Amino acid sequence: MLRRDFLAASAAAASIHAAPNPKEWQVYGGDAGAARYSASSLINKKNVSRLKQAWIHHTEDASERPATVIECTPIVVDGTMYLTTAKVKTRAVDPVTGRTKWTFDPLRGQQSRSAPGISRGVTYWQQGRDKRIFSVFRDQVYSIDAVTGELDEKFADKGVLDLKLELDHDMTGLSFRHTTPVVVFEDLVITGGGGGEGPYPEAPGHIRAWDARTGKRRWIFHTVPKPGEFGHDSWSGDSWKSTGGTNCWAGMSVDAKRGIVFAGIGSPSFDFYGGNRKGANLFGNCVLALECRTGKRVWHFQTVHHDVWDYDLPAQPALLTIRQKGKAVDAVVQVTKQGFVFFLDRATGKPLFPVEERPIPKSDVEGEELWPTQPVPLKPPPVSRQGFREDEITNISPEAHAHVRKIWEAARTGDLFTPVAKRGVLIRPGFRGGPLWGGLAYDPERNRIFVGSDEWTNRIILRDGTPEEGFRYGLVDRAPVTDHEGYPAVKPPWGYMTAIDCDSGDFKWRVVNGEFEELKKRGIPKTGTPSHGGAICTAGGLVFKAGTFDRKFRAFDSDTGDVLWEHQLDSGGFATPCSFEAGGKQYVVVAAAGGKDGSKATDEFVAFSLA
Amino acid sequence: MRLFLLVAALAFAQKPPPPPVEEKLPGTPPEQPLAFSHKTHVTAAKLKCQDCHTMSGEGFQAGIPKESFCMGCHVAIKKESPQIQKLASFAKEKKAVPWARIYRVPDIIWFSHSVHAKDKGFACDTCHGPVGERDVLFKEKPTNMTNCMACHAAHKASNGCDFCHASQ
Repeated sequence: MLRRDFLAASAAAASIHAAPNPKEWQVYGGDAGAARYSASSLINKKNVSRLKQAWIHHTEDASERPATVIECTPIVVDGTMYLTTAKVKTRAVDPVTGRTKWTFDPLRGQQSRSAPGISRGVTYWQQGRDKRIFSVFRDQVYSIDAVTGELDEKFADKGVLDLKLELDHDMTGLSFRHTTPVVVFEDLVITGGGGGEGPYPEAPGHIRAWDARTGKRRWIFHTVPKPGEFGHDSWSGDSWKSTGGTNCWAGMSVDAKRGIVFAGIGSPSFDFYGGNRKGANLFGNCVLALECRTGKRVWHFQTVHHDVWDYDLPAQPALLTIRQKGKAVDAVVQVTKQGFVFFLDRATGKPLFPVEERPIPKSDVEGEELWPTQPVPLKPPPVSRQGFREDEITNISPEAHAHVRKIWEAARTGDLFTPVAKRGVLIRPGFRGGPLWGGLAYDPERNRIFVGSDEWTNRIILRDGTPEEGFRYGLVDRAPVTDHEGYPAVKPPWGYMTAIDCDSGDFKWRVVNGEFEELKKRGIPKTGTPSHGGAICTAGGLVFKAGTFDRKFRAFDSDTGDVLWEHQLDSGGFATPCSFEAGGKQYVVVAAAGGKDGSKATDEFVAFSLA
Repeated sequence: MRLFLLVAALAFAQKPPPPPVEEKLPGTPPEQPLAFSHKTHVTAAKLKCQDCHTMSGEGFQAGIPKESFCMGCHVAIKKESPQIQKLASFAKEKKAVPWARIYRVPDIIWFSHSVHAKDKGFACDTCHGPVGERDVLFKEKPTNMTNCMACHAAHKASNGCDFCHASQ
């Protein structure tokens, strides 16, 4: 796509804003289609080596123990940056200085003894003079005046919308969480989220639209269809009544021109046993296209049938206008935990590269009936290695190999979609991916996407449930499989950045991302590390990515994958960055607040610009 | 404390998190720097758990008492005992006794002792066993996620991931 086409598309997609500006970062995913692309080229290949820290914003509410985490990608609209803090306060910040303009505390200064939940950012909405920030804390949506930071008391219940209500489900004793920003279209706020995926009763993840001014529900789409609704017959018996999960936790994207919202849906509960929910289980694990104004289903594409591997769709479906065979094609591109990247036609949901239904083995867990086939795209190649065969056992030391071999021999192993076994199965890629919630970034000039991916493995061991628990199987283990020192169970590399050509579906480049200093000292070739958060790309020919265990923030050459710049962060940068122009400069900002994977929990958003 | 130092060291050594440790019960009593008997303090001195293990701030931890706090009693009680003299020297030098921890909630879990013990009224031995009957402590109750979730389900508390975890 030519740049002017991209800009036009961005303008249409971002029509919620008074003044769409592709050189700001007005939406969580960069634009409403989640391309994670900045049109700014002030920082580019020639000068990126001069990139320096411009400011640090301390949220001043981090906790080391228990550890807070910041996964927020800030947005920048009309010269103000909006972000969420370690304890999920909403804050407006000057994007040039990092100074606080206002803070909204959902707890109004009260101390909380529960986890603050996850917030990956906020959503801006404007109509006329009304400018709002929609921010989610745990299970509540707050409508906040974007200028003053005060609650808009006309919205829902004095400015607060309780997502546990109006879910068409008995929520007694159930919890609800919404972790990724809501999306907006015209005068609607559209929400996903839902309950967990454990063996206990869980809330479903029905998608709903609310009036952006009043908070009144406009429509609901049942991700577990009720009697008479399309897809209901993909659930055996009364399983539709009790199944939860099946939710969009990784965020949605909006095609404003078509008036369609796209959601990637997660696994139904229980996510490792489905004998009580026989069938394909629509709309679990589906890319789902819904009419924004009505909630009516336009199409769906299921990436895993009857999931028992926790292979949620882990990222926003990306709405990209790619070039294939010389023509512009409106696509939906979905990364999966399995390491697949599905390219779908945005209007119809049909695959743009062939997808085969491949047979998988039957389950020997009593009561389980796996779907006989699973979809496999023939292109692009998977970005993560799949399955766990003997020759994949780690080789970084004899001790590491022996430790993992013992686990490998005791468990069932095999290709992707190896059935769960009571004695244990090794799932690879594990349910942390593969790619995860960072999704992908798309460079319209190069017609390529950039995807970060990990090489984790998880072990699932089932146990019998008790009559008191009320479920047939529960879990003994779901932990990541590692060697005796905590390094991944498979041979390195353990983390990649991959560039994929959207025309051919081939890899344009692939590099190992990150390094463990201690292994380097032992003489082990660069292993890469797992990472959190996604990449962004820019018109300056750069791909920015943090999130690796070595706590480095890097700029890759979009053409070659070479690292052109890197910066040592104080704590892990476990978030997707953003980039924007303000005050005549281009900035790149990333949350660097650690809090997981052995990284100290801190409270920083770090901004970089040219010295 | 040693475990804490180990965890802290790992954090700064850019290593991955330590591998999950299989829970073995009953655990072996670790060697402690002082011969401390919970049984004596609970049964003879009639102390309650919260008398020493206070929950400050937001109540996430049931704290370990400072040496000066212990000396509040032991300045008079059993002050001739070699163990108390050792304790007194820690207090005098304002050094923390390097107790070997029996239970530790991982940093990634938002577990509030205050919510469980004060608000919900669970007895300490629900998770820690009959500590007041023990001269030497060892891990005798499982504190893994399976047990947490089973208890949550039994008491109609949420089992949603974000209820106890700040990140996925």
